[in-house]
Amino acid sequence: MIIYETCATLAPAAAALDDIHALLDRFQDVCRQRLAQPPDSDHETLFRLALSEIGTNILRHARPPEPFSLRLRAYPDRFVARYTDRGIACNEPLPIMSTDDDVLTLPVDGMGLLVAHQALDSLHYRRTSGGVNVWRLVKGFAAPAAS
Amino acid sequence: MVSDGYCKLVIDMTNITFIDSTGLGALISGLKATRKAGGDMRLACPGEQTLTLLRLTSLDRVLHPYATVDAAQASYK
Repeated sequence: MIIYETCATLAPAAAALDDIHALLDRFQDVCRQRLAQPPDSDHETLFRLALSEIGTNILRHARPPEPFSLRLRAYPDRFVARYTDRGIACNEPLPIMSTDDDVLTLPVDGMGLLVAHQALDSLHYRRTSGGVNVWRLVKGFAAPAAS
Repeated sequence: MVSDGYCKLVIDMTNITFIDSTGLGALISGLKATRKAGGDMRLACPGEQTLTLLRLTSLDRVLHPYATVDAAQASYK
């Protein structure tokens, strides 16, 4: 059951990131009112972080030649986002989190997908036969235990 | 700054309300430069979102956060 849904068409330019945050601000405001058990701030923060990372990834790497879209949906127990764009396909394997404490080996770039993956319950990418990149992001929020 | 001989840095994060992997990459780059020069880089006053990102990436192990600028500076003494 969808509690709330909103979407936006975003220009393929850096300003799209501000638009993503603005859309998410409105989405989360509505969800706090409509959801019986809205997520806590940690879940909201992680969902925002993942949305920002995938949005940045699309702008930097897919470089869509035309506006791309973002749809946000709230269910009783999860947020689901879907980005679609007609840019370059993503062939990047998901990076592995380093467990090495040696600072000099840490990556300074290319951590966006890793951060998004860590922040979410599910991150899925597919390229359709029509040349559309589709990213699906899911962030669940467990209902508080009954007392 | 590191090339000017300053290799023990404190980054005041007071006004940073949101940071993603791009900003994190800049911090790691700075941390690498200071460590190569025999110093370190420490974060002062990071917000909750910054702390969440540091924990998420396990970088809180190497980018040590301090509650105030004074506390971060004092940690070098």
